[in-house]
Amino acid sequence: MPEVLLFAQAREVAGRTGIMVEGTTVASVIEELIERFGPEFSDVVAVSNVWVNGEPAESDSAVGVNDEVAILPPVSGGLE
Amino acid sequence: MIDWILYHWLVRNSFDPEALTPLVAADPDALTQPEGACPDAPTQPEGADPGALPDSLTAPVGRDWFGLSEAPLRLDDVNEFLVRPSCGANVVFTGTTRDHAGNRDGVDLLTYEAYESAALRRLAEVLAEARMRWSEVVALVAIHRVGDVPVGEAAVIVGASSPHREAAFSAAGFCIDAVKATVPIWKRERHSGGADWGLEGASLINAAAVSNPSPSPEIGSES
Repeated sequence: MPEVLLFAQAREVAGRTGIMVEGTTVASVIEELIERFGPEFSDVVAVSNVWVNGEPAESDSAVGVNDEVAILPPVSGGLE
Repeated sequence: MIDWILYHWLVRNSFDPEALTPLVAADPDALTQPEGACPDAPTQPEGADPGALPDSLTAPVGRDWFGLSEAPLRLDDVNEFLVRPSCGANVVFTGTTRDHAGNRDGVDLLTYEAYESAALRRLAEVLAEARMRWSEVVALVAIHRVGDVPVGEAAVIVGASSPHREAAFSAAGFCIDAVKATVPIWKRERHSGGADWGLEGASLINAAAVSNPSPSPEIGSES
């Protein structure tokens, strides 16, 4: 099962730093996460980047059992 | 690690005529030569002080130093790493944590969270991109704090050294822009009204997509 890493708001809304979920594409993994964590999580995902194995991925990107999917909310950058 | 040790050795032995040879031998043209002409550190590990390196910060690799650290970032270490006999210009930018954000006052603690493996790769890419754009640059630094950072401490330090200042200024300016735009690190601000993630979220891009810094940033610009 792919491992999903959750950061910042995604981690807070889900209440955990990571989770193993079913899914063979980015889209199906996301669907499973939204199912599990609800509409608030959906709102975060809507503005987040999704990476697979540390690189940007598209929603139709394939996800294998050993892949690492990361949900990356917008970075805060800072004003300094 | 080895190079880091060597730089400590260099600093400690800077009055040793052997160590000064590259400077003494340099003719006026030496400074106008590109990076290939810049000697790296001497090759003698005596006098090494590995304990000088914060535990959680990885050692410099050759002329690049990037990393994440839970321990305070030390400006002195950055300066030591950047200063090279061949370089007359050392530019360092320190981003310190601030007590307000936008109209939000009373920020007293910032917490930085990183996607560590990807952040380290992205930091390396930032330095590689800077090196490609400004080939005269010799040493480059991009280090970022993670975890809790009280107001007034360094959250990020970038720096560049080069024979002349133009490349060092440009490369350092690019590095801070690119660290902010490309590296998966999030900031949470604790303030009088609670705690929030940064006010102005942006999607991550890659280093090649980051523009060169403008020569004179607009006064009062918030970006």
